[in-house]
Amino acid sequence: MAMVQTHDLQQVYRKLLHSMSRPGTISIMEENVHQSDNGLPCNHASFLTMMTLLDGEVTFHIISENQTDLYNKISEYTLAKPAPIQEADYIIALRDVSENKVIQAMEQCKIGNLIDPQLSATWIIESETLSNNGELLLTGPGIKEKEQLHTRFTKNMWQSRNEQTKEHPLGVDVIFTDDIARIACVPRTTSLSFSEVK
Amino acid sequence: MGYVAVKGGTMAIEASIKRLTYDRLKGEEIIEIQTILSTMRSLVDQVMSESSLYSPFLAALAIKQAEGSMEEAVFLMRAHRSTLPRLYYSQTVQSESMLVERRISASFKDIPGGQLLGSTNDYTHRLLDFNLANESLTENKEWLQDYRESLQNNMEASDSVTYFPKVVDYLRKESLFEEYEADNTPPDDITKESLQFPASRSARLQVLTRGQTGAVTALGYASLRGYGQVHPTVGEVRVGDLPIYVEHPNEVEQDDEDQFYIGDIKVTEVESFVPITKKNEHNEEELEFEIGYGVCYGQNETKTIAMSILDQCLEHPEWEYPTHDEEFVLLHIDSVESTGFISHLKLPHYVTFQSKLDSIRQIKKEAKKDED
Repeated sequence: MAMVQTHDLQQVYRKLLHSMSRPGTISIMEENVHQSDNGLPCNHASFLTMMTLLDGEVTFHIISENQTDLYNKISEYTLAKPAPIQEADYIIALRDVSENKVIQAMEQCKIGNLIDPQLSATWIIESETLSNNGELLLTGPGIKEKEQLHTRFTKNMWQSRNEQTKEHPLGVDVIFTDDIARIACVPRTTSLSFSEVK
Repeated sequence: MGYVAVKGGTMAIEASIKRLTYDRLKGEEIIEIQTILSTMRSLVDQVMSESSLYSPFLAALAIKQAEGSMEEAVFLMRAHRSTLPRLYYSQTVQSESMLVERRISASFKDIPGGQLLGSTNDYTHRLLDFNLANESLTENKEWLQDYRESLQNNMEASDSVTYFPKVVDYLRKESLFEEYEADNTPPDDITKESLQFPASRSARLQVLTRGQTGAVTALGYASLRGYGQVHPTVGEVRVGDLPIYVEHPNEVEQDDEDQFYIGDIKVTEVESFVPITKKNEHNEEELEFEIGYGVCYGQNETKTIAMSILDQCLEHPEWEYPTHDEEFVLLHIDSVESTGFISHLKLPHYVTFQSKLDSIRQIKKEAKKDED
């Protein structure tokens, strides 16, 4: 993949910022992306997000069924250091991971403390699909009235996320990436509810 | 009351910046970076030290851009520093491995390894040299050639590198100084996390080493003159190059032999001996020596000695003396912070001042009413 690192990642950063400040809004990181392009066992959007956010100053943890060599690759690309879930600044859940594993990790990850709420984990979660017509209703800062979001996850995962963000400003920020290089974000300030019938 | 961002005077500001460029160019002379590097050694060292960014080239560029203003050059360097990615952390340096250019002790004449005066202004007459007004390159070249020849004739070549032992080690052997265990806790980084009080020693040393040369010197001097309790004897001043190594970032098994050498930095290091009275186990007062430590980028001897005084002052907080108060010392010696705060006073304060005027007018009016 040809990438002018600084320049392209700045575009990625702008898009992350756009989606993070407008929760639920889907941004396209790169047009016409095929999954195998980057030669890595993760979504292209996850890769770009990691390249943008990770550096030698932060730690990361990958939740996956069988992708251990991704650790080395990410370390080599970004100089970030692997860490256990409880300490990691970034937690990456790959698409092969079951919802239960994500929930377990969500319960263990760091959410900051009242003096330093920024010392919390940022999640990058892969979901095959992302769309704006779904059961999940988002409200809060950055959303005019309400926004809808559909991911591969059920109510259970969102309940554990709500559990972690209930004492503002503590909490986690979540970035979803899909197969076609799109992202959507759910920061800790967003309130979630579920529409009954779909 | 909150601050309101206002925009205005754009054209006037643009014209002012043009005028600044005009002032830099109007003499129609260009100073090359190389010229600054080879002739303004001390200035480059001071800028690097105050900006805590070791890069002679960038320091020289900042000096050129700032037209020689120290505070501006340091500001430019600090701003640039904040944009740089942190790729690696260097390994702990043992300063015994310094390739020493100059090394003196004011405590003993015959220190192990001997005194090495090196290059310094200390023994020169402070008389203006009017010959420098018309220097000739050819004469300089001749002088250099003579100097190099006489060096070659007087020096024996050696295959091995000799390192100078620390003066304090010699005193430690006599049990005149306490031996401490090496403290290997990772240092705080004041450029990543804001300074908290009470500050750790690592944080204090970082603030002191990047302090404004004049401010550090002034406070060190104040301590000597009685606004502090520390009057040291300089155990050792050494100036020289320190080799810097980094570890491989990803390899799990690390071996000292596999570390990468990434270059040298020139530093000045000072160990001051400070007599202090301590109570022993029988509650009797005993005289003991402690060390004040100073280290700065480049050859910055006065600042480094002052730093060693302040380090020792801050190790022993005493409320009566300002130089022993870490908030007083550490929060006021930073160049960017102090010059920045002072120069912000030039920014418009129209509303705050108007409100002060209003209150004074009101008070005067009321006072006049009372008189009547």
